[in-house]
Amino acid sequence: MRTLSALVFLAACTGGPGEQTILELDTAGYIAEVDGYVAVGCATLDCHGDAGRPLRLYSETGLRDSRDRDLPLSMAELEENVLSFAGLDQSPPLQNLAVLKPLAGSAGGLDHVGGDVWADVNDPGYICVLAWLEGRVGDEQDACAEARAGVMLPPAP
Amino acid sequence: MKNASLLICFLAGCIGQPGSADEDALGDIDHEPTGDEHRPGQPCLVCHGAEYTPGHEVFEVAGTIYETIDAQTGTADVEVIIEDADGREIRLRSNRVGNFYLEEDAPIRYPLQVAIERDGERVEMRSPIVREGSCAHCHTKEGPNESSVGRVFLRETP
Repeated sequence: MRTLSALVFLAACTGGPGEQTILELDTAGYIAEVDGYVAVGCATLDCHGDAGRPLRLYSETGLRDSRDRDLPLSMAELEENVLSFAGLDQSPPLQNLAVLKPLAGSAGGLDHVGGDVWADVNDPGYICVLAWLEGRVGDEQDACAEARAGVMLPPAP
Repeated sequence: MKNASLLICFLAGCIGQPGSADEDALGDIDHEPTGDEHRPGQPCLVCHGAEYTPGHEVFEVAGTIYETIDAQTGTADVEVIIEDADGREIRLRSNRVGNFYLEEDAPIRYPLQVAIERDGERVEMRSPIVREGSCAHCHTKEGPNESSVGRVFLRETP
């Protein structure tokens, strides 16, 4: 399993002693379970597929690193997506912006320009992304499959 | 002197107005000054958005339909079918220059699924619209390229 280690050294003002300060994000797990959900649900050109926004993500129908559109993402694009998560926030998974921004405020989430994506922590998308950040996405394959099913693209013409 | 200072302050206030820079970036192209046939192919909500409205009318969704991706002018009588997050379906029709718009008071909730249709030909947009009401924000004339899928068009170029 290929693991992309995003070594992020935190400044002294962030994180306390003993707190997880390095995210090791599993690229293979992302490709297998997560990209099919976030690339469709989050990476449209009018949202995280906009190169100027935080958590810039490539997707089949959205932002590309070449002019080849409507083709599956290249390995380089998938790796860039993983790096975008690493670059977004280095906080521990439960405090990471990647799970707090889409989560409704009533469930402990933060304000998100794109609105509340997950009503609560039982949403399969929350469970899937959190599990991936925690390095155990293989334990939540059912949740990831349910999340992907909720945002599935129609077939290419 | 006092009047001059007031004028400078007033102008400074205008310079920082939200959206004006985006409007300036569109350029002063040759177009109908007002009405539903002006500026086809441009991002309508730059001037018809809720926060910046020199165009007076506020639109929820608006854009231009072309016959083919490389057509130079828009095409009429294409039905634009919008289904919102609550399953509401709204049907609009492109006008003589290809423009269509949905006014602000329409009750819709994002994300939207969109299709266009005419005479039995139907094209469904594969990805949802999550937040942007101007079709041309993503469907630019310059596309397709890395950050744009190109114009909204009904059929492949023969």
